[in-house]
Amino acid sequence: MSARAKVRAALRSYIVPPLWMFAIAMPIMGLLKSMVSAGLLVAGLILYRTLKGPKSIGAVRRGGYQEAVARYMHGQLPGYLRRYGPALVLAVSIVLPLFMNNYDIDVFTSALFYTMLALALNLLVGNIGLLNLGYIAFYGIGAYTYAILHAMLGLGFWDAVLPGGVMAAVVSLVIAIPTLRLKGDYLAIVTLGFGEIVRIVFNNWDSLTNGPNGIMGIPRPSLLGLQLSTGIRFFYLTLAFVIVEVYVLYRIDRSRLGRYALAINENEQASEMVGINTYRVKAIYFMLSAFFGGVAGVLFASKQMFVSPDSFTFIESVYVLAMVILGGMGNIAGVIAGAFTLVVLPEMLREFVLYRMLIFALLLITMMLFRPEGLLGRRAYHDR
Amino acid sequence: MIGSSILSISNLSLMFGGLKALDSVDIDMKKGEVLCIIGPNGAGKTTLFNCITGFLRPTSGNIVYDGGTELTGKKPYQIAGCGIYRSFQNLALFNQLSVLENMLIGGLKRKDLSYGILDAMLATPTFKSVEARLRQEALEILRFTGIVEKSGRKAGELSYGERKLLELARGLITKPKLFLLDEPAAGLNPTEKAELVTVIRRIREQEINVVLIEHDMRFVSDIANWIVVLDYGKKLAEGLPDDVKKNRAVIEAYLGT
Amino acid sequence: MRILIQQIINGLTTGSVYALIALGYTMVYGIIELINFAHGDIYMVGAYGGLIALTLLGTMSTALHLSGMGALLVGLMAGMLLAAAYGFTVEKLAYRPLRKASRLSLLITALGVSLFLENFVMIGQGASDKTYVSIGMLNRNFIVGGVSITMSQIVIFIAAFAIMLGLDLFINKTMTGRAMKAASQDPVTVQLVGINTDRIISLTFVIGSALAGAAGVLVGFYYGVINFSIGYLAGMKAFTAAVLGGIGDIGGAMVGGLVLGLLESLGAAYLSSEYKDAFAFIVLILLLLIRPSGLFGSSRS
Repeated sequence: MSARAKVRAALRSYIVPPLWMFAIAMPIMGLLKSMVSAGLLVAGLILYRTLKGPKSIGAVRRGGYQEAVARYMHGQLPGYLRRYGPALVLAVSIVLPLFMNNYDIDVFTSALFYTMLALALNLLVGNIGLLNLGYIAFYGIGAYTYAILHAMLGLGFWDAVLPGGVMAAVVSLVIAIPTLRLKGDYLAIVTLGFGEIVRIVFNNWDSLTNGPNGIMGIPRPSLLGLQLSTGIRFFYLTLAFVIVEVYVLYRIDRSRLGRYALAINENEQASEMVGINTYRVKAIYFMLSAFFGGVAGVLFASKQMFVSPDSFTFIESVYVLAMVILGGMGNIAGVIAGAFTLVVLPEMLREFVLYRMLIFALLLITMMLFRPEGLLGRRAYHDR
Repeated sequence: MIGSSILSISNLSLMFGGLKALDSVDIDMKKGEVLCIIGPNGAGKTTLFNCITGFLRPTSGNIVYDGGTELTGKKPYQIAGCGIYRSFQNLALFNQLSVLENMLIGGLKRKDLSYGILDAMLATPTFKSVEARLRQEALEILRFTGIVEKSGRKAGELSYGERKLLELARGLITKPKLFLLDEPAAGLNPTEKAELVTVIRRIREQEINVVLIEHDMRFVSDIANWIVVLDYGKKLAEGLPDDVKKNRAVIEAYLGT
Repeated sequence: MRILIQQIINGLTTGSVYALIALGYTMVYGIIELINFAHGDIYMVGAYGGLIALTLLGTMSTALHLSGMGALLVGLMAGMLLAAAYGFTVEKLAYRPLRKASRLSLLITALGVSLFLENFVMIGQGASDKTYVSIGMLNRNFIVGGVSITMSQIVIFIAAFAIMLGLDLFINKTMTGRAMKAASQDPVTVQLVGINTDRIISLTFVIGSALAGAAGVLVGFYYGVINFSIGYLAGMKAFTAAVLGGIGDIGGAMVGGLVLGLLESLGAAYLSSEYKDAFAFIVLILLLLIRPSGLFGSSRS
């Protein structure tokens, strides 16, 4: 390459983009922030080029990382890690809270809530390949079911767990029956619209939901005479729910139903041909996913001790979806990791409250650009 | 029991807009036959398969299976559930899944290899033994078709010939009574073709009725014992392989007039 | 009767705004089959662009004396320009590298872009409502037989229709426009004919975004306040309008926008004003279930 061409190439890649970004950011961001972001862009570009180049440090590192992921995907993790890994994670999550302050326990609990939701959504997005953009509605339906059952009939937590889940599942079936025939993007849009409608109903059906003010005075649960009202006790309750959910989902994954889903996600026509009623399996998955969301909602209502429509906005659905994608679709361990990352990371960025969502959005975009299969990749298909 | 029909198609027509893709086709297939459907491109062969397997709904006519089950109006998975399996011209495998998993999915609908929800949830002995039997049977069939050493590979990574064999193998594990093959020999080299003939013969030995669509006349005369010729959606002729080969109308349709 | 006519006028006003935004959705979908979630936020950026330019102008107004009409045009131009720049950049940075990726990745990227733009503007311009620049001319009000029409409503009509007419002329009369149209109908063949699809796609984003930006500025004038989060709901409604008209169909998007605007304002008046925002979603869901090809589209199988 001639010197002139080199200069021109450098100009094109390092000078023009930042200038352009500066120019379009300026009106919105003002002089200072635009200059900072243009500077960050240059830094990012240089970093990207060094990491992406064939002889870069990144290439070597990435090789190691990819190899590790590949090993994981082929189920070739060291035997002891495979066998004792889950037990280890469990032991840590039981012991760790004993040494945490209330605030941290609260963060940890909230991570567990998102874990429940992300795992349930993963059933749809990761396992059978249906995109639901209004998922949070089922969480809301569970929460409101408990709140209303308590307000009207005085039902307690344990009496509401099943009704909350079932209610969500029934509503999901009503949605699923007509919409499951739709393809890809259209299904996503319908579920999004449905999520919005549910929230608008929560907001406006005053006689039932008390409108935007929400419903207060929802009791915390008790178990065998023990009030589960303190942070740490509630944490353990949530953990128990998560364990049950993980177990059930793990078994589903390894059973006939899981294999149906795997097949449908891969090739719908071939699935029909070997005799799978794809429509029915999809509906079952829709309901299962909603059921777990509903149960999580009941738990959520009892943790907050009140419900209001604000907790169930579109952005929450996106948030849960991001957890599924970040960790690796269809991969239980990955989804749990994704949920924890997206709850704990923003806590660590607490000083940058303003920039939190911005960073989150950037993460989502870069993820799709560079590693669309998620950090841990898709679940191990082989050797199951 | 030779004599009773496994598949009888009567007066089957399908219109695409103004075009007659199938025009009152009658086919009667006796149990124990290997029926071969031949015809030039666009004659309606694959369309006929699509009608039988429920991927297309015929405009008129009937398809009766195994002496009494009406297939028209049924959905593909229901038809598959009756014991009919088909292969596709362009293959319909689960490419991202392993060969073994393709087989396990094929075995999902087997009544003799099933378990309840509780079994699955608690991983009971029933669950484990059924899974083990399914796996064992899958491996046996893979051995039979000669691709067992590929069982851990992704289906998409196999060679074209191996993928065709896998589609057959996956069909076998469903234990079909009627096996529809859409151009199984297309794109195969002579060795692979010979292998395929062996596999199809063996399928025949298991009392599975075979219908196939084919172009290669030599391949056809090797295994078929009844031939139906389609042209422009109409049945042009039918008969024993040697008779059909001599049929004037058939020669004209193939060579053009 | 008076209420009916009043609601029709209000409905047509919001409807023409929806139509302007819907055009961008439909054009982009037609060409790369992406539901561009960020499109609503581009509209929001446009609204801010107009506001920022006019504020700037306001501080210098002693030097530059502009009539109401001039200010209006400057606002519109600034909004369209900024929105177009953002649309262009988003396509280039976020969507283009994913041309061959899965639909899911693309859709999620679009969600990410939408979130990014919202927060970007929130950080730069603050989270609270911003009062739009008021142009005296637009506040005039005519009352005809008890029905009130504001000047801003008239301006929205005229501007929206002038812009759509311009678009129509561009698409049908210029070479580039025809190439765009062809690309949306058959992207593969167009490439074979030697048209640079990347440039066409870029252009589609630029034009669609400019239209959305114009809509943003017009809405700013009409309601008087804007906010960093107005893009989401407007985007969803415009998307509904696009589906209503048959997604990918440019004429359909215009009609779809007007129909949706009317449905909404009449529904709010005669059915329930609380559920006003739910109408669009209900219409959208019903439509996707019953006639996914749109109200006027031929139902393809």
